[in-house]
Amino acid sequence: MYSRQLEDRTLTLVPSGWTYDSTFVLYDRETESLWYPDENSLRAISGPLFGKRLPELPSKDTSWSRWSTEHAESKILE
Amino acid sequence: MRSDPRLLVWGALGLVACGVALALSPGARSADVIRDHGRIYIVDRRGERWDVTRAVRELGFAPERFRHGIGRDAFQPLDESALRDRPGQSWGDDRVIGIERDGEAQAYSVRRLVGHEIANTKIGDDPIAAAY
Repeated sequence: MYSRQLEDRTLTLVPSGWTYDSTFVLYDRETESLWYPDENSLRAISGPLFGKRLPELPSKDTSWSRWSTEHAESKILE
Repeated sequence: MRSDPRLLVWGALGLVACGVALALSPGARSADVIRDHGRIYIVDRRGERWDVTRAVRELGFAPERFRHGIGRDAFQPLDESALRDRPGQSWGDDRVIGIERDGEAQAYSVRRLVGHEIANTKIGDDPIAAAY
């Protein structure tokens, strides 16, 4: 999970079709910068946003039943 | 010397067979790398060039470790319209990635995410990307 808010603009992330060391390389539609995970963020590795970071957000890898028990009002993307 | 038409037919079949074998070959294909006027590009299967000069020179990326290159339209990200208030087809044991933020909770079905790789959505007022 990553934030898509970079300073005053919202980015839309898309797979570039590339992997690097088996991990997907993304690009943003707004500037076509490439993004790749680095530590706790996505980092721009090319393009106008080179060097900028999108922070990773806390999330839980779990089952639907465990999650919905703890979060009765949760929305779901399925 | 007259060319034997059978040679042409066998030659053509041989080329087709090689093409099919290459297209179906397992294993991730390494990027085609072009160096041009001081820039470094990787070229994908659709012929699109991606400039990775700074990634290579400043961040230590190795051009040949970019693989697949199946093109920018290979995966269609999901968006907010895919978020539902209640499940239609998720079962108890189905794996999800859950996020809670600003008093809102969302669960992303891993099975659904895998086909799209990315969902660009919002939680509270915060734009987020769910990636698998």
